[in-house]
Amino acid sequence: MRWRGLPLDVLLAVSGVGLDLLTTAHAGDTRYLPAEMNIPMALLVGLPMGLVRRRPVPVALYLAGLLAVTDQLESFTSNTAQILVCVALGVVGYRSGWRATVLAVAAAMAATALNIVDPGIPVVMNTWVYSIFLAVFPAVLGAYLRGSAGPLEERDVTPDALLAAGGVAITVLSTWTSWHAGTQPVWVVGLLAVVGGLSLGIARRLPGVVFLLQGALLVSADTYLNQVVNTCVILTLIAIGVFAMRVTSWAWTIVAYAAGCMLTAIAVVGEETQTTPFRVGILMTLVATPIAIGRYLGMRQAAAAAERLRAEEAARAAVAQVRADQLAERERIARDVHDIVAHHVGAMVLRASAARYTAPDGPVADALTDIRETGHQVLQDLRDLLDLLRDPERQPDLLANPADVVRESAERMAAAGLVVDLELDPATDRAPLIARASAARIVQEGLTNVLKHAGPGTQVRVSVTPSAEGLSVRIRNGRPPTVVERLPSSGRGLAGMRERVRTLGGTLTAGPDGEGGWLLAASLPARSVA
Amino acid sequence: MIRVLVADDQALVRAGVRMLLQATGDMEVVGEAVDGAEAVRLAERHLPDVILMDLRMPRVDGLEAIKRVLAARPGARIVVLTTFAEDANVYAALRAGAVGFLVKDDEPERMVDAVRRAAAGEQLLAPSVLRRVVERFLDAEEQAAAPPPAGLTERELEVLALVGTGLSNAEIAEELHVGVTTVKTHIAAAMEKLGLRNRIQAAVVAHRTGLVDASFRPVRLPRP
Repeated sequence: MRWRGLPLDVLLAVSGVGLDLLTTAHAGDTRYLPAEMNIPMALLVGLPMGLVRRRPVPVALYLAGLLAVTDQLESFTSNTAQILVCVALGVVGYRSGWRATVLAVAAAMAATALNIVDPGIPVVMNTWVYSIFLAVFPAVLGAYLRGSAGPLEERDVTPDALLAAGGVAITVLSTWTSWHAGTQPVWVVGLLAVVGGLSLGIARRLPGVVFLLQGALLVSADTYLNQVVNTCVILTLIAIGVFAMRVTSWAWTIVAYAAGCMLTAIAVVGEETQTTPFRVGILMTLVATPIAIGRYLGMRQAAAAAERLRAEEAARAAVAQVRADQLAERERIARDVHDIVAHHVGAMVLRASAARYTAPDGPVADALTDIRETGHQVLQDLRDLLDLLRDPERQPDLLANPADVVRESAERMAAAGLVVDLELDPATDRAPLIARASAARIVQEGLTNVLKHAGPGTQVRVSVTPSAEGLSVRIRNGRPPTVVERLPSSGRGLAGMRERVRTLGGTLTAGPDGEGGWLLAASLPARSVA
Repeated sequence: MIRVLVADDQALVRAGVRMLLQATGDMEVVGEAVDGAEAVRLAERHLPDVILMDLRMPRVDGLEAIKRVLAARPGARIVVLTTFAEDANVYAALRAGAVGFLVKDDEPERMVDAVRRAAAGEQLLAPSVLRRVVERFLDAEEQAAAPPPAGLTERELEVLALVGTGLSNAEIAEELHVGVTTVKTHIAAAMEKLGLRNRIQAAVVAHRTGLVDASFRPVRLPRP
């Protein structure tokens, strides 16, 4: 992510500043700050938003600090800081590791609590709930958006249509008698009922969003129109079920379960309700049911998909095997042809050599010399070809300069959107050809993998350098810039690389680099393989 | 007159060799064999000084013929004639006791010279080739599997070990601070005692009896 999407960063910064100017425009002199400080304060709070996509954690910490300071100064900018810190936390949750997220959330919680607690306002339970919720919610949302539910692969929309139709049927039929009962206009309630029902149609594609929407509807129904809250509970439970079906991570399932229990509690606990352990147990069990159903369906789907994938893989492997057999057969034939031809050419060369050795100088001797030379050349070529056939790893295209191959593949990948930083030590030209050629292959394969699994915009550092035992190849990529859909990978590319390196007597390691990226390191010995 | 037997299934090669050797004036072809079986028969009948043996022949191939000829007459000097020096059979033939090999598109002068040197009982192989041969044909379980060769003097064992490491005579002489002639004498004596025909076999014996370790370093034997 070099300065890709710069306009977006500028827009973020301008929006941040603009937001503060709008909220503080009416503010005159305050106790500590004169009115002319409004614009500098707006710049202080808004401009860092330009960096929020690149450095979310420092920006969130800065905004939390600024929130505390502005609150103490009784500046109106604290309101803006409160909003922006939530936005920054969302980005932190989306982009950063959990340690950094916890740090930022803790700082934001402290600042939020400080902001909410003011002299004259009693500290109640709600204060703490708000402080925690305001900081945790955006971070959780961001982390969720990072891609807990993989994209839905099936094209079939029948289940979605059925869900939408069922949702609308439930909401409309069970609530339309009470549409006029609340303080809201009938058309608002009706519209919400239809939208709430229809939204189930996209639940399989956006499980988190629909679950949030249903939660919001339930809370507002509980507040404004108690007659329809039971319908909302049903919809929420369906949304939880779909969520559990589509999101495979247990952590998110537990979060959804906790949220579901809370929402159901909000719906069923009224003014006079007595909370007993038994009732709590019943409620928690009931909420677990849709999760169990969703999980079961999700696993069955995953199993079916895995089975399909395995069948495809088996078919592909069978085809590959047939092709490999054909290729091996063709190689055998080619080798035999070469052997036979070489055998005869050798005899011809020997005959011509002997004749040349005994003949006096003259045109005949010259002709014999020509025949001898040509035959000798043919044999040389045949030997090279035989070497290639004996060593199928040495591919003719790599008989080109391997360094060029490395440079070309780096350029090709840069054109495809990777940000490649290539370090190709000129001293490597002294390594044996087979090691250099293998290094070139590893770079090709490694970069292809990065593009496949981390997607365009990823930063990759490729280095091919001489080492104590020969050549060292390192391909390290940073965290993917966006959530990419994980392409199915056979793992064959890596296995092939490993096999090649092993044949040369080298080592290859591949795995996460501990910073959200991936590192592929190979070391190739320089001894020429006889 | 050096008497030579040519065994090759290709008439072109046989005619070429005959022409080449006759042109030298001090060599003659006493027999031409078209396959391995005939080569063995003619070798017994003519007792040639040198046998030029193609490896790829119908019915009985060159490798088998070499083994049979040497079994019948251990002193026979056989030079392998091949199209490819990398042919695995070349190494097998050297291990079986061939004294060297020629590639069919070698210079004619070189061929003539090789036949002469083989007739004189010289070794045709560069020591550097030896290492590759041994590496290729020594199984891991062969390494140091046999007891140390009996009946050799300490000096002869030492020289044999150094042959096994792939050093040339000159290098061995330097290593032991003796003359090249002395080295040659020791090698000849050791090969005579062990019934070996060429340097390759000597190197293989050195490895098999543990005089040399798998990484081609000589092993100090405990003194008896």
